[in-house]
Amino acid sequence: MQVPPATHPSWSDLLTGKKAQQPAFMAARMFIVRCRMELVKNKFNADEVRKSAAQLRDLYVKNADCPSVKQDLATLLS
Amino acid sequence: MRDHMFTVQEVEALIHRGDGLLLAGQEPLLRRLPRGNWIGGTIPYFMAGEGGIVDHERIFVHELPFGLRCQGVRRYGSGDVDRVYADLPADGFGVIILPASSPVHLAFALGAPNFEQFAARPLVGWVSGVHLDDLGSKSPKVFDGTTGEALEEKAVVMHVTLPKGKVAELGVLNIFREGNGPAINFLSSGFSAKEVEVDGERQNFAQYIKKNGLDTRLPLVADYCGTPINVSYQAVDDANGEVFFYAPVYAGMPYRHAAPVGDYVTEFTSQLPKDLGQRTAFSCNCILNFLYSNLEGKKTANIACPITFGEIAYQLLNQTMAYVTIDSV
Repeated sequence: MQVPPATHPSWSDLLTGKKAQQPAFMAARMFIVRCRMELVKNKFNADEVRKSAAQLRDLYVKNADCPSVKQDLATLLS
Repeated sequence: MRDHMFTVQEVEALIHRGDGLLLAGQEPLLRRLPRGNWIGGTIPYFMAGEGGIVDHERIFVHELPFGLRCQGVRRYGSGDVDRVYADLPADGFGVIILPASSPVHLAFALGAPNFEQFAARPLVGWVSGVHLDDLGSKSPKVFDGTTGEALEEKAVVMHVTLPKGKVAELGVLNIFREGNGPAINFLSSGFSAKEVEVDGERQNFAQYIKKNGLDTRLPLVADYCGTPINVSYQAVDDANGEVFFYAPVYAGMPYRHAAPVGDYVTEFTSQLPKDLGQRTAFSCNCILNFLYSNLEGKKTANIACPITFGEIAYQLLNQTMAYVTIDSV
């Protein structure tokens, strides 16, 4: 299954909370919460959101075979 | 259910066979083991086939499932544990054991979410401890089986590689949920706190706990995008107005005191994913669940695991069962 590019709005929407659905992939849940704490501090600076979105995508690429990642790719990130 | 409790002689035979082993037991037992592909940590509490037990004579063994290989054992101190995720094998996962209250335990607990490549690969594991009667007189240890050394100030990590067509995924089972009380915000991150903001009002946390009669056997719970993550209370120092925790609280993260739970075993069993026991390569559960829910002599479905001073599923957790499952792609 194809992992969308880092520019796909779903990544930043997950990070900012604009996308209300929650990922099934536990690593993503923990990573997003860690990022949000930082992003709140810097008022969701666009560069920081882009950087975090690329890192979040990288988590999915590296774990693309996990059942929960496949589930997210089919639902949250399609 | 497979047996996980073995004598020293039986574990020796398993080590000589060359398979990767994840061990838990009392220090004198682990010290008698030969070198091999194993890591271990000290603890005498277990969930075994016969239920919750305290065992000073046998060692708990997780054998790596067929096809999984120990690729090596790494050690980390507080100065280099920030590399733990970046070093994990691309085609596998890591199992970490940290000695409770050591500098590396504290460094990992506080810093893990900000370490390079955090959560890029599965990292599961536990915090070693001692019998509660030995707190203060004995120190928790971890063992690097490749050298047989016992370590007090280093973490050990076994790198495990997966065969083609298999994938590892971490999971947690936490029976606690956020209660209906107000959000509690901490002013700084750490293992203790004096001042907090409750509904925007700054107050002393120890006094708040007393005033509201909070049961500190229930943890604080934070919502990690749908995963409830606990921080357990260690002690409330009324005289100095300070509250201590078993894991760090983070500034900027709202916490709520957990809702009361009924019977632990009933709740645990109802939340347990089907056939988890067969797919689990490693699991551990918290000493606080063992103590507060009186698990000695009780069975938690078909789950067998060491009882630990902290659980790791990517980061440090409290009052939670952490596990890694192996599935076919």
